[in-house]
Amino acid sequence: MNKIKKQPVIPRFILFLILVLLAIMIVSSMASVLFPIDLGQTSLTERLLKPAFMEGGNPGHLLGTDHLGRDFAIRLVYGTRNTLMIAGTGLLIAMTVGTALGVAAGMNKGFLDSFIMFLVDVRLSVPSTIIGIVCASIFGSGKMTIVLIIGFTGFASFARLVRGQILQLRESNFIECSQALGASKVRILFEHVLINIASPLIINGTMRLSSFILLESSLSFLGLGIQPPDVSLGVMVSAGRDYLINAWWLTIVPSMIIVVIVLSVSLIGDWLRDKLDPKLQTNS
Amino acid sequence: MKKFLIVRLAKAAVTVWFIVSLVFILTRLSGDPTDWMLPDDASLEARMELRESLGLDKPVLEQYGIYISDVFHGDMGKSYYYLRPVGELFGERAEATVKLAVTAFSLAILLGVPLGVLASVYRNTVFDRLTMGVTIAGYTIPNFVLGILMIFLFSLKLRVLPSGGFGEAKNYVMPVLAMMVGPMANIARLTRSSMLDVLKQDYLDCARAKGVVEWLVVFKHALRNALIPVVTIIGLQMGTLIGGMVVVETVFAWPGIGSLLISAAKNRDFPVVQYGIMICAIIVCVTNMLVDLSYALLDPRIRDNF
Repeated sequence: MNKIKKQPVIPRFILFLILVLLAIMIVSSMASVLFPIDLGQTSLTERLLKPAFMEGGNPGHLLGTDHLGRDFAIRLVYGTRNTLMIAGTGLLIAMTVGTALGVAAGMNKGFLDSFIMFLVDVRLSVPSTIIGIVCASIFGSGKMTIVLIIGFTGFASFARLVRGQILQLRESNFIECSQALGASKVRILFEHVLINIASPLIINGTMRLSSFILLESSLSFLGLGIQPPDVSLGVMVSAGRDYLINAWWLTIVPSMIIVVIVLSVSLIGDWLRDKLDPKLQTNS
Repeated sequence: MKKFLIVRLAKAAVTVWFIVSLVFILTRLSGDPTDWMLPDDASLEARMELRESLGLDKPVLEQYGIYISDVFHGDMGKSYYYLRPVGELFGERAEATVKLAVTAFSLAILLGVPLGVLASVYRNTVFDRLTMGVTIAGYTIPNFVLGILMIFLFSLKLRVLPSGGFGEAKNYVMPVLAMMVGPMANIARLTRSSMLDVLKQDYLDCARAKGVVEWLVVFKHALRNALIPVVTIIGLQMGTLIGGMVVVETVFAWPGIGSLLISAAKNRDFPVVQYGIMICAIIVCVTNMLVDLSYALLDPRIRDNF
């Protein structure tokens, strides 16, 4: 008899991506412990120093300094932290709001359901970048605004997903059994429904996270997100753009970090989807 | 068919009205725009005069009524910043944006669909893997990063393309690329997976047995049946394209509507922002409607149900 070759639980490539992402998250989350500096402090005598590995580079600054003489590597760590934190917090809001609305729509036929789905349609008929522009013009730009923009543009896909799943689950036998045994609506919701939709929710969450990171960096790049002296990856790409000729790394390095993060998150999301739920098709 | 159209048009109209009203309410909630239009030491008279000329002195409900009636008369108000009618501002810049967007969108479809079809026909070959690898890169690299990388490579290092400017054909190359790569990647991926489902079906063998040449089997018999999801994703790309347009125009200093919107957002120029979001919503709603109508065109079964 042939021995069946055991497939590894996680393919090596995905494991590698997870480790890369974990490393980025751990280092950036400890930014203020590792580098307790004031982000606004500038040093004009040390402007645009070259990275340590380049010819004529300064060994004191691993990636050189930016146009205001601030250490670039440290700013990069802070920038990554802010980008991840904003996208992550936004994801939590989007997931919570979206799930709540999806549950409300799925459990109640009639007006509430139609109204919530109308809200979802309204949201989806304006691209999220445009919503970002409108919100930034109304509420002013800043960290909180961006988190809220992500939260309230991202809810739609979760609401749709949860509603669709609940409509399917409602018809299933075990829910009917539970109802027949006299379980309350709340109990059915928490004990049966939410547990059963957890895995599509997690998959959708991972897949949306990469688009939230993109949204944050795009808005910050446009000058509508995080404001200097605070920093995020998009802000760094935008600020470095003027020095592309003589200090290319100021733009290219943060750009590459965005690409690495977004690529890892979306590949992990794709893998999770195939692994956990081959039937699930996420749209929008 | 008529009923379907009327229902959809009504739904689109309600959606647009809802968005316009929501934005109106939010802008009025966010404080008095004269606060940041005038210097801090402006006299009270000057402030009152400006408020009166902008119509901000009336009760909010009346302002809303006037606003909605103006919208129906095609008058979107004056820009707070340029002090000119909003329609005029958009009109001047529409050409640049429309040219860019139409070029990018057509190329995304014209390249994305054949790429997806070929990837599905040659699945699991080097060509397929390469195409799919490129499409993953295409939808994960943000368009502003792609734009900057291209400027760095083609404008600063190789010096073959201009990094800005508008008018000549070479000005279009990089902005169009930066804008089309994302939508093209999505279209190609979905075309591939939709084609893979169809290519398994028996009726294609029947066509082959009849003696139809292979490329006709693929591009006529198979693709036609794979088109519904493809058209859906093409419709969804409209939103992606509009969002991308704003960013790409900023990167390449393109004199279009996107850069107007960004400066309006920074200057809190509400009439411009309100007009922008209304146009976006109309474009997306019309696109969705066209997509739904195209189902009827593509599938006789849906046509009969109308």
